[in-house]
Amino acid sequence: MRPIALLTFLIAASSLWAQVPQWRLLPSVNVNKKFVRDWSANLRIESRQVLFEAPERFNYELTDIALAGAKKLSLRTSLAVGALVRLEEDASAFRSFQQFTVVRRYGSLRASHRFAADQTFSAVESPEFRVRYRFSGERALSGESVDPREFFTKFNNEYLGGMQGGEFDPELRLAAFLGYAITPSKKLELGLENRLDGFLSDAPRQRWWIGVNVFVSL
Amino acid sequence: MKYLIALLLCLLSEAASAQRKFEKEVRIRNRELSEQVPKSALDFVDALPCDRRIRWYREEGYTGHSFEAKTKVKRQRISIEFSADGTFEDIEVAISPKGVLKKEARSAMEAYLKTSNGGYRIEKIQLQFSGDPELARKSFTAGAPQAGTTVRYEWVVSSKVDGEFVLFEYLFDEDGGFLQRTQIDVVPADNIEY
Repeated sequence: MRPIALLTFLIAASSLWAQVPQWRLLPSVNVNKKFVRDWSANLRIESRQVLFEAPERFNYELTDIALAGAKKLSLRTSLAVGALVRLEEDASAFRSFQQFTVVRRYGSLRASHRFAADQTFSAVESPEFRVRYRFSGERALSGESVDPREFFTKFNNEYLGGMQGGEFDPELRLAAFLGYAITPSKKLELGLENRLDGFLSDAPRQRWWIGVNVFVSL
Repeated sequence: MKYLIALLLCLLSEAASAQRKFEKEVRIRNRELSEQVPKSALDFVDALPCDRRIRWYREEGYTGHSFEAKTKVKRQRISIEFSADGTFEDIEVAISPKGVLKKEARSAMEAYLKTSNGGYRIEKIQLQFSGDPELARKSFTAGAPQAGTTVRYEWVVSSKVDGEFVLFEYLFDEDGGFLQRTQIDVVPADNIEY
């Protein structure tokens, strides 16, 4: 339960530091399809809703649709490249991304190190270029590994460095999820994510995301 | 959002109606040990000079259940397995290739793995002591097999077959003779990769 405790601490600490936090709902569906010779494709559809902000309590904000092609470089490492389309009511954006992932097991913790870069282009904003590193850990609540019909906890910690219009803006992300493995290839997750950016400027921005994730491997 | 809710409901209904059996490892809390684990198994493990607390698991499989204790002794990660009635099965010690007791056995196992896989990568090696419980415990603590103890090696290696990386578990005898090979299913990690 350490991720939950850490997140609770973060919520308490954030109220002392940043501006009034913003709340978002972030449901996502992630479908992974394996092909021969260790190729795979990943489709992610993620929708974002704004919560508790005037004039409505619930406002649709945008939808991201991402498709990636990946190739295993070893049993534990993989390389993926892909594209994302961001659909908003009055605008859209295109993002290309590349990622290298290492999956490792540390005792009962299954973890991944993800090194990634992305490039975002839109008609209304300057291009944005980011590099990012994310550590993710998954631990079964019972037993050494996550078995079907078992709950698990997952946490993510990500560091991003973004460059847009000549300005550098780093971002920190921390997330904790409670998950349930329906089968080895179908998982549900519910949790909270905290994103903090703009802390090099006078106006740090803190956002809270309620994440609902569905992962399916075909 | 409607589609997401529909998908969630589909997945949950599948979970409720699934009929297939599966293997599962369930942690046994300390307060439940005396009720769930046979005393002979508890006594055997308590007699080991453990570096840290002992974690007990109940392994539920296709044909019944068994018990497994995991801990560390002299910085070595070990697991001790018992049948459902508490009968000792084996002590497994995680080792590196240098931990193989006979140099010739190591050479034989490495040669076999190279021949059957081409290139391979070692994921885990375990030294197993089985047979008489007391002799197995003495073999483990002495780091050398006592007469009457069965010694085996379990190598988990990854290699490439038909252009795909796969995971195999190999079982060898004391002298490095091949006994058995099993392919291990790799559980998808997409929820920590994406």
